[in-house]
Parts: sequence; structure tokens; C-alpha cells
Amino acid sequence: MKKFRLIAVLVLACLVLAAATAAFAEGEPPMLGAAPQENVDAGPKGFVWAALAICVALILPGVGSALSVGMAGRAAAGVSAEDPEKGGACLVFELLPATQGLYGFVVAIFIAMGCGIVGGGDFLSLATEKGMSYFYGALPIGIVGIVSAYFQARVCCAGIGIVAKQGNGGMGITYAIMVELYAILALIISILMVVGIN
Amino acid sequence: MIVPMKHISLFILKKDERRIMKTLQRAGAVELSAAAAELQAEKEQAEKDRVTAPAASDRTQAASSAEGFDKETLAKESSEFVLAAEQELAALSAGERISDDGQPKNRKKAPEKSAAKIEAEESARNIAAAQQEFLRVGEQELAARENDVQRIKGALSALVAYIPKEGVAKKLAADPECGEEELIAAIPDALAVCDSIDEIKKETAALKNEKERLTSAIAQLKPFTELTIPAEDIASTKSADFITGLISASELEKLREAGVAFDAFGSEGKVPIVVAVPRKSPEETEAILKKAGFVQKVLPDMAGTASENKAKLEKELEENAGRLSELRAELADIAQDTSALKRGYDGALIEQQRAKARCDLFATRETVLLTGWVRSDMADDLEATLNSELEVMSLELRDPYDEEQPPTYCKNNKFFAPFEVVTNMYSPPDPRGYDPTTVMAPFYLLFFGLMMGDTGYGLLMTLFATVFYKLKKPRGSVGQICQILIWGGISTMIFGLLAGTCFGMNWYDIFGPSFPFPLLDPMKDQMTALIVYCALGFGQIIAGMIVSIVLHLKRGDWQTALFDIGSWLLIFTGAALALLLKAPAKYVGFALLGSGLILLVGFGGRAKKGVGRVIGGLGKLYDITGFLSDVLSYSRVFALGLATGAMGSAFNLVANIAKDMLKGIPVVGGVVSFIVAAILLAVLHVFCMAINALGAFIHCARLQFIEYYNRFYTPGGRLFAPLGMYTKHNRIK
Repeated sequence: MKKFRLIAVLVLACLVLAAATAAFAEGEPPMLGAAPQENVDAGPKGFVWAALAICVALILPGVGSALSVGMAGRAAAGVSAEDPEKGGACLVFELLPATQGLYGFVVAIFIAMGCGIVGGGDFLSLATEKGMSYFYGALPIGIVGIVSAYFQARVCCAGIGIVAKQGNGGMGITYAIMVELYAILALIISILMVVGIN
Repeated sequence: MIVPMKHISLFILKKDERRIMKTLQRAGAVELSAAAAELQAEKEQAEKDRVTAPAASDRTQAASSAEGFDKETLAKESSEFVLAAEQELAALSAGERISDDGQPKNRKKAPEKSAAKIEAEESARNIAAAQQEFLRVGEQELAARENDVQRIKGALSALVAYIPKEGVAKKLAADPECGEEELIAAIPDALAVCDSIDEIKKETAALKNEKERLTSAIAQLKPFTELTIPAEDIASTKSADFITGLISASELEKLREAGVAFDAFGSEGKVPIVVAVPRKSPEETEAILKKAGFVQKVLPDMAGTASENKAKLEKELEENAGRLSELRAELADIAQDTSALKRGYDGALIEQQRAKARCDLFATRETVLLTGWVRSDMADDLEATLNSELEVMSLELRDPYDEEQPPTYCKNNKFFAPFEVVTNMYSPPDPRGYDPTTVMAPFYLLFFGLMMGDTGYGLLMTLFATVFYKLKKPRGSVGQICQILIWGGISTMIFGLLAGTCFGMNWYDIFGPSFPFPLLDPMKDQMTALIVYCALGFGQIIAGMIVSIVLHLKRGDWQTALFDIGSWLLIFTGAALALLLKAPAKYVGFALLGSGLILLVGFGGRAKKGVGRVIGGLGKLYDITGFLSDVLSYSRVFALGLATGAMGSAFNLVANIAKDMLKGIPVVGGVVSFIVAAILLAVLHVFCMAINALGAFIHCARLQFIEYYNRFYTPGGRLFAPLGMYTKHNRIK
């Protein structure tokens, strides 16, 4: 359950951050509304949000996948210690929760290319609202990625149990893939949002 | 195509049994079942038949009176079977004490226990004894064969550490082809090698123990190497005991001052010392010694000085080490060529499989009964072979009874056969159902290609899989997956061109903006791509429904075909026409939609009456959510296809950045940056291909299982596992 707590903390931190962003975006104009011209040197802070978005898209699913591949890997090592011939079937189960991290990576790359951090764009002049939007775009894959990776890993460990008992994964692979659908849906929405923002 | 199974029951003479088992193993067409259990089931069935319809023919009787059962022994034995069955039935009905007309019967019957019945009991006992004996011998033999397999396996794993490192070419080499006789003939040699390996292991263990002993003895002697008095001379006298031990050299002076008689050897550090302790008052000397930090060490039981003994032991240790390395060299020598051992292992496996099958047979004194399932396409060949090999036999082939569940064997042509492995991952088809492989494979390839969606990776995959398949010639499911990857790679190349990338690069980046491909770029037209892929998925669902209609019609169930499935097809076509076309086709669409709805709502609940029927029909409308979620499930095709291209392009970016950074190095910058970028690209793209191929393979299989098979497939079969020659290291010629 320690892992679950870690995941919960990371996700909560993101949600709090998101709420704070929303408050900031809403609250900024009235607070500084009296003298918007005085604030010239502040400039747009979009690139900070875009950088945060890249971090969220990469870190959350990355942490989830690392935890999960680690979990499944330990189970796989246990089974193949008993019977090395089952190593191949176990490897499939170990790799299944690795995909969330890759999805996060894909979204991170999309954001990085969109905002110009990669590819030599003028990312310093990115509008604050646009940067924040990137951050929101990163949230679906970030949060769904980490949670789905963790729960997929648990199904994978059970699937490795099937391998240990029966020699091949059978339906275990299908069960594990069922969890992945939600990460895929989140990936689609994240990509659509990020591309739309571009 | 599911090949129907035929039930086989074969009576043969006991003397032919071993020969015939070999024939059956070679043919690989029969899956044996436990004959004793089947006889029991037949008896029970016969009893049931007798209770319901006393005139009904007894199956046991039918089996024994089958044609070809002409020889005297067989006839006698078969009547024994029947007698045994009869006897047991009689015992059962007597035990129940209730006759057919419900009157207590036992008392009336008891005195009539006839001579025939006693004879029957006797003969039943004989059969049981014969079966027990046969089973005992069979199990003993199986244990011996299993022992062989385990021994050779153990020998092979003992050799693993000594096998010389294999090159890539050797690792990719196909398993050698070998004749069955050659494999069987290799068993004694392999067992002899096992013996010698066991010898070596035993000797090694003994030598290692010896080494431990020698090392500790040497360590014990080490402090006394300077003690020049032979051990036998340190003997106690009348008035004094001599004790040996160690003491610091600096304490010697104090001892001398205290008047202790001793002899010390050496002058630095801890030195060995022999002390004379007076017998009359040892306490005083002992106290002095204790104070001086004397540690008593008893000399081992030996003759001569410590250094002589140590030298002797060291020599022994050297010999021991020499012998150990000799033994290691012997093992390495055996490990040079394990092919004979591997042949022996496969031979032992063949023997073991046959011995295991023999335990399923049912034996009487003179005959053996074999029951099981045979592929109907091989039944005639099998019958001909048996006829030519046997003079006496009774062979009965029949179609399975309704309550029997035969195994499933699917037969497809060369292109479709590999895709059976995908279906089997879910569940083999029901033996009376429909083999979905042919209607699944095209969709599998379509979505696999779209999910990979990168021509470069498709090319790479086809290349790798082809080379591996041609060189290694993998058997079983590995070979099937390999073939799927070859076709999947070709499909990926096509769809990469139509709607994808090439090694993560956009086509118009390579060939300029005027290049007409890809026709649909999911990176640019996300919504269009999403809709197109979901529409393709919808097409697959419709195809599944059409297959289902055909299957239901074949079974004669036109009501389900029309009301439950056909009505939805009408609704979908109607809705499509009404939405997409203008009048007058629009009205045709509305008409179709309406008729579909009437059929569905009106007859969907036809199994129920009254209000339940109306509610049931309306409830059917709720199925639309199932269609919706199934279609949306195909959005994964879009996401995975996009992810492949995006990951590929990200890796290109990484390699590019690395190249730009390394270019700055003076003089060698150009070369180094090029090499590093090339290595990075190769490794990253192969990784990208592998992880995406895994994803595509599994997600694509899932689409078939859940969205497609859901519509028409009957799972629940058991794979046909005939008695055959299943080897590990060699292929049978």
C-alpha cells in the first residue's frame, strides 16, 4: 500500500496544482486589474507552465510505469528462477505496464514541440493562458497513466501467477490489457488537447 | 475449419500392444483417453438404457460384437467384458433391492444365484486382476522412463556452465533433424554419459570435502611450523606433562624469570612453545602461563615435525587441486558436443510419452482395449495401417455422442494456420462450433498494420521475423507467432504508407510536400483518423454480426438471426441511409430503420409472454450502448498508431540532438557524432519497434476477442493433444 500512497500523493499534488492554476487564471485580472500597465516587465509566463506540463506528462506515468514494471519484474524473476523456460511468457507481462510511461513520453514530446522548447521556437513569449492549457492537456495522461499502470501491474502479477501454474499466460494477457484502455483514452484526449492548443 | 473427431475403440491382442503403440505414436492421429473410465461410463450408460428401455442395445455388447472380432481368444475375452458388465449390473440392481415393478426383489432372487453368475464373478475378478497387473507394470515402466528423462536433463543442466559460448550463427541454427530410431538408439549412450557425469560429480564432491579437510589441517599446523621437535617426542614423563601452545615472544623472559621450564621456537610475534607442567602442582605453572597470555593448542595426532607434516598436507592439497581441474576438464570435454546427449533426451521423451499413454489402456488377460479420439481426416489412413499391421483386431470408429466433449483440432491452409495461435490465446473453439480463424485473420492484419503504422518498422519486423523463421525453423506457437509477424510486417508497410510514417519521419519530410502519401495523416487530421478507424471497427462488428447470422441460419435458428441480429443490421443501414442521403433514398432509409425497430422491439422478447414480451423487446434497445462502447474501443487503433510515429520521431530528435552536441568536439567531432547518432538510432528504433509490436499484437488480439468474437464465437474447446513424438532439441524427420 506504500506505493498506492505515493501515487495518491503525486496525483493529489497535481490536482491541487491544477486547482491553484485555475484560481490564478481567474483571480489574476481583478487583483492586478487596477494597474495592468504597471506590470509590463513581468511578461507572459507561459513557458513555465509548458515546462510544468512536460514534467507532469513525463513524471507521473513514468513513475507509475517504473513502479509497475518493477513489481511485475520481481514476480517474473521469481517464476523464472523456478523454471527458466517460462521467462519469455513472464517478460510479456512485465512489459505491459511499461506503455503508460511511453504514452506520457509521447505527450511530453508533443508539448515540447508545440511550445517550441524543442525545435527552436520562441518559447519565452508563450502566452500564459496557452502554457496553462498545456498543463491541463498533460493532466489526463499524467493521472490516468500513473493509476492505470499501478493497477495493470497488479493484474500482470496475477497473470504471472497463471504462467507459473499453467505454462502460458492464456487469458491473463487480455485481462491486463483491459486496464490499459483507460490509459489509451487519456492519451487520445491529451494528444487532441495539446494538438488543439498548438 | 474444425476437423470433426471420431471416437475410436480398438481391441488388440496383448502381444501386439507395444508394436501398435509405436505405430500410433508415429501416426500422431489419436488422443488416448482412459479406457477404464470409459468402460465404467459405458456400463452406467447401459444401465440407464436398460432402465429406460430394456430392449435398447447395450453399448458394451455392441463394442464387443463388432466386426473382425472373430478369433477365439478375442471372442472369449470380449464375452468376459460383457459378463463383467452384466455381473456388476446384477449386483447393482440387487443392491437396490427394488425390482422394476417396485417390489422387494432381493429375497426372491437370492437363492437363484446360479452357477453362471458365480462364473461371471470369477471372470470379473480375473479381468480386474489382469488390469491391475498391467497398470502396475505400466506405471513402473513410466517411472523408469521418467527417471531417464530427469537424469539426462540433470546431466545437460550440469554441463551448462562448461558449454563453450555460442556465436550468433549457432544460436540461430535450426534444431537438427533426426530419425526416430536414431533418437531412441541414442538413449543408452546418453545414459552412459549421465553415469560418467554422475561419477565425476561424486568424485568432485569427495575431492571438495577432502580439500576442506586439508585446508583446515594445514591451518591448524601453521603456528607450529617453527617447532622443530617431532610430535612423538613431546610425550609426558613421570613427573611432568608437556603442553604445547602459543605465546607472545615478549612474554618469554617473564616465564623464564618465573622459573617455568619451557622450550620456545622463534623470536617474533606469537611463537610456539612447549611447556613442562609439573604433575604434582600444575596450578602454579598454569596461573603463570595464564597471566602471560598463553593459549594452549593441542598438536594434531601425527608423527614427525609440524613443518614436515604441513609440507605433506600441502602436497596432497596440490594433488587434490590437480585432480579437480582434471575433472573439470573432463566435464568441459563432454560439454564440447552435447548433441548426442540431446538426442538421447529426445529419445527418452518419446519413450516417456508412450509409456504414459500406455497407462490409459485397459487390459484383460489376453487383450488390450484402447479408447480415444482420432481426427476424422486421418481415420481411414489409420485404419489401413492397423489393418496391414495386425491380424487380429476389433476397431470401432463412431461419431461422438451428444454428451461427449471431443477435443478440437483446427485445420487451415498455410496462410491462415498461424492465426490459430491468436484464437487459442482466448480459447480454442468448441468442437461443434465454428473455427473463426479465416474470418479473423484479415481484420487482425488490418488493425495490426494500422496500430504499428510505420513502414520502416514493418520492413524491419518482416526482415527479422523472416530471417529468424528461415534459420531457426521454430516449431509450435513460436513459429506461428513468427509467421504472424511476417505478415503483420507486410501489412504495417502498406498502412505506414497510407496513414503513417517511416522510421518516425513524415513522408513529406522525406520526399517533399508533393508526395501523395500518406493519404490520411493521423498527426494532422486527428478527428478524421479517429472517425475512420472507429468506422473500420464498426465494419468489423458488422462482419461479426453477418457471420453470426450465417451460423444461426445454418443451425436453422432463423428467429435469432432475423430478430436479434438482422434487425440491428436493418437499423444501422437504415440510419446510415437516412442520415447520409437525400430524398428519395432517405425515405428508404427511414423505412429500413422503422422495420428494424419493429422487428427488434416486437420480437426481441419473444421468449416471454404478455407484458414481459414488450419489456423484453424494449430492453433489447439497450444493446445500443454495447455497440457504442465496442466501436469506441477501436479508438485505441488511432492512439497506438500515433504513439508509434510520435515515439519514432522523438527518438530521431534525440539522435539529432546528440549529433549536434558531439559535432563540437575538435577534429574527430564529425566521425564521432555520426557513429554515436547511428548507434543511438539503431538501438532506439529497434526498441521502439519491439515495444510497439508487442502492444499491437496484444491490443489487436484483444479487439478480436472482445469486440469481434463476442458476436458469434463459441469458445470452450480443448486442444487436440494426440499421442505423438514431442521432442525438444531435435526435429523428427
